[in-house]
Amino acid sequence: MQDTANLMRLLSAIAAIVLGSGGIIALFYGANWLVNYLPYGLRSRVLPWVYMTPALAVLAAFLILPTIRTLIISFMDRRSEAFVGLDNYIFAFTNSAMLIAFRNNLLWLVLVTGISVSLGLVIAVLVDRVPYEPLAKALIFLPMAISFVGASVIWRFVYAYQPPGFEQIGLLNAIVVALGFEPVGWLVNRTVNNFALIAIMIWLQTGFAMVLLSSAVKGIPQDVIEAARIDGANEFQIFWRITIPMINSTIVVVSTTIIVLVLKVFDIVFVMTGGNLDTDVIASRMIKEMFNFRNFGRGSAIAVILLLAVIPVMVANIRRFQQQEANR
Amino acid sequence: MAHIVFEQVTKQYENGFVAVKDLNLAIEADEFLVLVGPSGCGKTTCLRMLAGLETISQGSIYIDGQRINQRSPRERDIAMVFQSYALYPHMSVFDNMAFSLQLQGTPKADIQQRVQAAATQLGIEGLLDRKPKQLSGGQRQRVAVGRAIVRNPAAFLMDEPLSNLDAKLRVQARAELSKLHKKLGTTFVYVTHDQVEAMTMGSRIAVMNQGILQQVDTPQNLYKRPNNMFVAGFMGSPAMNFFQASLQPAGDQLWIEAGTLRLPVPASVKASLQPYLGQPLVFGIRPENIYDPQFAPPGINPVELKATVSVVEMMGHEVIVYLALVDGHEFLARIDPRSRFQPGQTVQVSFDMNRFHLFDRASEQALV
Ligand SMILES: Nc1ncnc2c1ncn2[C@@H]1O[C@H](COP(=O)(O)OP(=O)(O)OP(=O)(O)O)[C@@H](O)[C@H]1O
Ligand SMILES: [Mg+2]
Repeated sequence: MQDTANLMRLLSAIAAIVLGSGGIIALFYGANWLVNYLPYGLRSRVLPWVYMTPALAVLAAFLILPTIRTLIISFMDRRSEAFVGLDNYIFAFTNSAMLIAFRNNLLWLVLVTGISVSLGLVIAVLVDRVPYEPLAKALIFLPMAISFVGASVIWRFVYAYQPPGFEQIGLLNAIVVALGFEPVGWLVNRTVNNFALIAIMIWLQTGFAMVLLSSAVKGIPQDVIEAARIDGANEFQIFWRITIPMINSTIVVVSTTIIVLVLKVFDIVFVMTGGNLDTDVIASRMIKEMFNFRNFGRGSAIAVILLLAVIPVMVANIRRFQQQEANR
Repeated sequence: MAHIVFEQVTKQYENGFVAVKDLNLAIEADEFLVLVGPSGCGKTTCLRMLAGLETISQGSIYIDGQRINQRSPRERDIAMVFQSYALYPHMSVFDNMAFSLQLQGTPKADIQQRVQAAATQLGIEGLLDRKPKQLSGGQRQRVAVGRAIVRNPAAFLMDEPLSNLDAKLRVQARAELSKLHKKLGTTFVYVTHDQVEAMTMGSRIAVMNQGILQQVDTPQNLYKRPNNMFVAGFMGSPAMNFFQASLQPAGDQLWIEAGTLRLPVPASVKASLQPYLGQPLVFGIRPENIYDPQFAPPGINPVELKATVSVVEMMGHEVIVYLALVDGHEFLARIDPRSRFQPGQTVQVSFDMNRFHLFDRASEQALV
């Protein structure tokens, strides 16, 4: 019985794939066939749109429309019944919990981006010279494969806290106590808890930065490095004056990617502290307003703010990409 | 100006391959030494060891009497022009040339003036603001040379700097580099696999093959008195013709016998060849020492023989003729353009027996 059910499921999955991709192919093929009946000059102008229309339609349905809806809701009250003007935005920029979230997010942005990119860069350059490079890279890259929630669970154990006198099961506190200090409540102590969370993100993102930067470092022609060496540059000068400028565009891409990721971060905060004790970030505030407090107006306003914060970064990224293409 | 000495230098790469073997070579200060040899013979390896980019497996390299094996490239006061030019793509031409001076902490005004001077000398003063990407191949080559000369180093190393240029530009750049050498009076070590470059530029030429130095001498001597068959065949274009031969006495004459060829040895060298009677030898003669008897110049020692013309290549100022002896052995002659040789014809050609070479067949070394 179970077997036939599974078989049916498998068959319908295959059918979906075949019909789905077959449908797309048929769509493009048919459209192409139709376009070929147009006069030549018109054809080359119409054709790109024909190919792009399905993608644009999907994009519109699942991305642009919801965005517009969110924008509208952000100007309405908690049940989306009455227009409240900028009230939700005023709340977002004045409420003390929101301000703490902004401050925290800024901290996250600067520390995660700064540290994982520079650490990733240093490791990328160093790892280039060790004999067991693939192993070293795999170890550093490994955290990338873990989901944010999974990572948070791991780090809960690292940060676990027992009152003094009890046996410490948390790795960090075990070390601290072994060194003769009082155990620290990493996640409850307001001076360290944000940094404890940020460290997790750095642990996750350094591998990502390292892998991309490492391939950029490898793309630098060996003879350019050698020319610099002959010109009298030491390794440090080669790093600053040759390596970094030459992989500049990759550094920017990696940084912006991490910035966008950090702006959206919420899972780590949610799992580790639930945003309590001043650890909220903008995204976790948004979830709270939206689903805990059921205030759709405020939640949407925060979402719009997040979106606006991401746009300049994306624009910079796309610009950069276009420049790079133009320079090829 | 640097006096450079290679003393029993051997390079073995990590994979066990010996790229340079037991190299002994002294390069005079102010000399233009050309390292030449076929692809893969170890020229670049030599240069890289001298520059400090490659470790020296055995032996020593001295610059001005100082052993430099353990010195980093920056401590050797050497500039290098790479085959790929290796310009810094993110820097302007000016910065490319100024980089080494900036690293040395040279004052800004000084840098400005030296880069400007070098740029003017090379005719690239209009390009100083450009990025390498915006330059033609010839311009890049000049920038690479410019980057080397602003430093005023003790020696210039150049690894096939002209091989990426088209034929016309190469001739021009060749002359410019020679001029530059005269003007700077510094040691140049120049790597090429092009023997025309070697002959025209070098004050001396070092010929290498398979990691082993074959001969070092002036271009004229190398051409006139090659040490062995490799050098004889490598220097000169088209290459020297070789025939398996032996020396046979007949009457009071000494004859070089090579298949159907029978050539009399001039009396002047007869005595010195006496010890090689009957041994397996190789007879060599350059294409330019074979003539159409009609246009043979005076002052040669012509010996006429019969050959069949297979191909005639008209070059304008000369004609390259592919010939075959009666026994089928093929050889080339470079003859007067007025000659009327036609493919298929059987013709008389003259060997100038004042200009032949004999080699031991086993060792391939030249006989004295
Ligand atoms: N890193 C390396 N490891 C092993 N073998 C090498 C290495 N670099 C060069 N070789 C070998 O050493 C030999 C000499 O190389 P080298 O680059 O010096 O040749 P070259 O004379 O400059 O040739 P070309 O005219 O083609 O540039 C070659 O047979 C090459 O395959
Ligand atoms: Mg080479």
